[in-house]
Amino acid sequence: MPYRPFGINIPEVEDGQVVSASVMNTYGRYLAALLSESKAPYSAQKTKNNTTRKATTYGTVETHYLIHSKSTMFYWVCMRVSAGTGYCRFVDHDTGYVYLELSTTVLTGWDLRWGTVSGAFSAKNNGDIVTIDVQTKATTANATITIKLMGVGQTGVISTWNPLPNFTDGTTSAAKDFNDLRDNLRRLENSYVPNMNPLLASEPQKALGSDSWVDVMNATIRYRPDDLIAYVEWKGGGGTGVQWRVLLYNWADPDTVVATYTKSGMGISDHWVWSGSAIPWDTYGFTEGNWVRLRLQGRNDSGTADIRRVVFYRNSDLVTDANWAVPQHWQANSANDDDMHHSELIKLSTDTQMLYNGAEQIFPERLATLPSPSVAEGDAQDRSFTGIHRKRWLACKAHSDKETPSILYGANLAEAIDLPYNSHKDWQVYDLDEYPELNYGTVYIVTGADVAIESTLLPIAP
Amino acid sequence: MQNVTGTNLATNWKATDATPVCHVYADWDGDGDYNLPDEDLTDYVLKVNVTHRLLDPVFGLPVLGAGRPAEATITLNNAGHRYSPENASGLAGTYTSISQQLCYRVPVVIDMGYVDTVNGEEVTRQFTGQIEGVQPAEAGGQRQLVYTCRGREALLERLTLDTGALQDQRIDKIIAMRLSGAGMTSMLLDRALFTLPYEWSDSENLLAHLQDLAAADGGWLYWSKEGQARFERATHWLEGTHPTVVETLTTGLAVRQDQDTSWRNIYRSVIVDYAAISDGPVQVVYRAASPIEVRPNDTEEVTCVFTTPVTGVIKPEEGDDYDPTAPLGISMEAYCLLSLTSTAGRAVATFTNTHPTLSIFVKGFFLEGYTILRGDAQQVQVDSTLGLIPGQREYHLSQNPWVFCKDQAEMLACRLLDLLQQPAIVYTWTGRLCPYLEMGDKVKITNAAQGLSEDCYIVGMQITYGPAPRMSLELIPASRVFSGGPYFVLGSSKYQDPSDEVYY
Repeated sequence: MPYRPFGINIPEVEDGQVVSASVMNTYGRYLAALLSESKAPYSAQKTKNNTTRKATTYGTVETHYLIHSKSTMFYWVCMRVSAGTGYCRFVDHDTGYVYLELSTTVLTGWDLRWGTVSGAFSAKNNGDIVTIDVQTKATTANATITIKLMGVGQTGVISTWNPLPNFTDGTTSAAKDFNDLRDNLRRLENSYVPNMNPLLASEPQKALGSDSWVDVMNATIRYRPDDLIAYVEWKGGGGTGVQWRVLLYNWADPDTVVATYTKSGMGISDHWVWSGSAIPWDTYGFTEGNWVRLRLQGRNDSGTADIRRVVFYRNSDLVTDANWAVPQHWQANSANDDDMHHSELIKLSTDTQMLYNGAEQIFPERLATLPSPSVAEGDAQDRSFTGIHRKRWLACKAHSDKETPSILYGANLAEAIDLPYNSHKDWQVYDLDEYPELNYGTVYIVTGADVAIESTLLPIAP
Repeated sequence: MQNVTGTNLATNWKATDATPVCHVYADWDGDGDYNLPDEDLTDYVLKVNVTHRLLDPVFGLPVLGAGRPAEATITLNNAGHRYSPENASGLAGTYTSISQQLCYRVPVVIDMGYVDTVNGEEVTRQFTGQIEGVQPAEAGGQRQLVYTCRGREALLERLTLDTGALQDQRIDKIIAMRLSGAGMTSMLLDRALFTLPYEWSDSENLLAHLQDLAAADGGWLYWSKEGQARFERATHWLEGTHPTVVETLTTGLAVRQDQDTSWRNIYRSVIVDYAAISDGPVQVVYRAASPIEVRPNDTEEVTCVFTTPVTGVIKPEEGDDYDPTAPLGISMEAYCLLSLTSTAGRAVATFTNTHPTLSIFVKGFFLEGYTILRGDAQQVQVDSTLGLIPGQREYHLSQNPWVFCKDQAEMLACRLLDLLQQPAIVYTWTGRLCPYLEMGDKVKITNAAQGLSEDCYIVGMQITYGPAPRMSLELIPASRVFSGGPYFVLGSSKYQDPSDEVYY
């Protein structure tokens, strides 16, 4: 199934053609759609901390899932090996095809490796659910290969960028100007990986230590100066109650804490509490576009306490760059809006350039996968996935005990939707538009599945 | 206008002493050319009448989508029953296309022009089509035969297509694919303005389907004198050579000039319905009402007509989506094979029973598909500000399923309002044949005594030969088709403030 960006098709034009308002207005709509995508709430991607393995043959240490829309693979991984050479590769779970193999001889610190693999997913169809196994090995017996995988996903690459037309006053028009603009907008869209809205699995119910910090979850997100929200679901506590904190790292140096945000005074509760808190990360010195590692820890003063679900997301401040100019809505036979106005055409070019330059904050994003939970699939209790409802389709990989998936939403997650379940299929695909009570933008949780991914495209199971 | 480079037709059509010529050819042997002596009917031609029209038969205006198929009647001298299908001593004895097919759909072309004193005969094609009927007639001692012919588009009139769904295709590309699928390769298609999210045909009349598509882009589809399929977008007459007046039609060249101003089809408002076409849910699109019996060692083909069009169906799984059993309920899964082919609107499921003696009853068979959803209709209304007539008169365009978005509906509504908000003026100019004029050509009609000097588009053309060539043109004033301007033309208009105008 083709991917139809925003449902807007900008038509190609040709010299000699009379320009229609219906054509001109597609440029503005497309720009507006790209702008709004850059402002969308964005869930952080759950990552593991260190994944270690001792073996001289490949074995899977992580599994990631994506719904295919782009052909280029993007990866960012930190590697080290205790002796000899360590290897990390990305393999298609269903076909065995090796997308990429990396090696390192770095013994201490981290060997940071990132980049793209052109055409990696070109054999896939849009909407295909792609399962990527991350495998490691070392050449030396008993040597430990350690990776810290920030992300693997899909992206489009802007390989050819047309010089944007200047629409200079007094020059003769050319269809090429408009078609170049059109092509660039489509390339921008193509380079932008829609937020897959990874529905984050917490570690399944993490018991907190008494008066000591316990790691609960790691996640990754790119920095921009909007709100960063952490939602934590917790229960129990004694003494002065439960606390949690978020340690923030720059991924270029993933072991050095840049800042710590602590949430104290959570109190004591005998029932699950779902509460959110804004983290003032704009005061921590990050630069827009930095990859940031988020590490959530919890502690309890005394007694028992648990955290079972965590979600991070970056909200949008909805503040647009002051230089962004909304182009006119052309309208034939109107007093003012029927004129081509070269000054209005220039807005199309300058807005497009702003998106290309990343001036509209960090456009495009590049993360688009969902990692597997950090314990063997099917072994965990109460596995759940949390995210923001932004896309129409939800693909769920069935839990091994064929549990029926449910959606929890609303205040304190008190509302539930039981989803239908076909025991003959590994992947269940749901049309969330059939549940109008689940509003777009709602934070919700999926339980009873090993993996859950939202998608704009209709997901096609292997 | 047709290409007349190197000819003197532009002079000769106005010269009363130029000798007219008319050639008629029929492809009796069906080999794609007209090179046999028998295939040249010219010497037997008594009379020819050709009609091309873009005019809507109801409105008397070129509205949207299409004109009427071109028509021609060819009257022959049938002395000796040369062309009679029953006469084995005539051409029917040589060509089965005459004796057995009764000439039905034998390709025909008609050329007309004048003899130039330097170049000799100079002709252009006036009609390309095929014979649809034969009427031998004898009266008053004169033996004649009349062929009734229709343009190439008539070949599509009774053709239906079942297709898969095309996704995200520009309308002209869809038209091109559907024409090619029907075996028509001669086409000249403008680049359309709109891209349809989905398009499909489920046993639709192909010609009507293509005309709906053309109308949904604000343009029209018709066949030229050469039999070439032409899709012209809404702004076509403002582009290329169309803004240039091809010929001036004066009273000196005319034998008759009429003017019809009709208030009957004037409207104050135009309403256009549109309905979104989008991805629908995965759902059951076919469910067998009763068990399907498959006899031993036999196959059973079931045509499944979907309740909703689909982009594809999910292959049904034995046990989940159907249950093959023997009469007493014994599972026959091991003996039942299923193959499936599907289009957007239907599937053919073929069940094969490999058991030598037991029949299979396939129970509960159903198909799920990725459906295409048509939203509920929404409306766009544009109102005239001319105030020419009192009261409320609305023209409602509601039948086109390919109008799917508001931009499209607004464009169509405004385009229609330009045509319908004023009384329709149609000039009819009759005079000597100018053989290279085509539909949509801009001509100037003048009548000094009347004070008339008006640029018009040709929207209808009747050409007669019998023996003198004559044409009767139906013309509408250019000012009634496009209400604004000058329009911004890519490649010639300038970027500036103020600049030229956009069309709808």
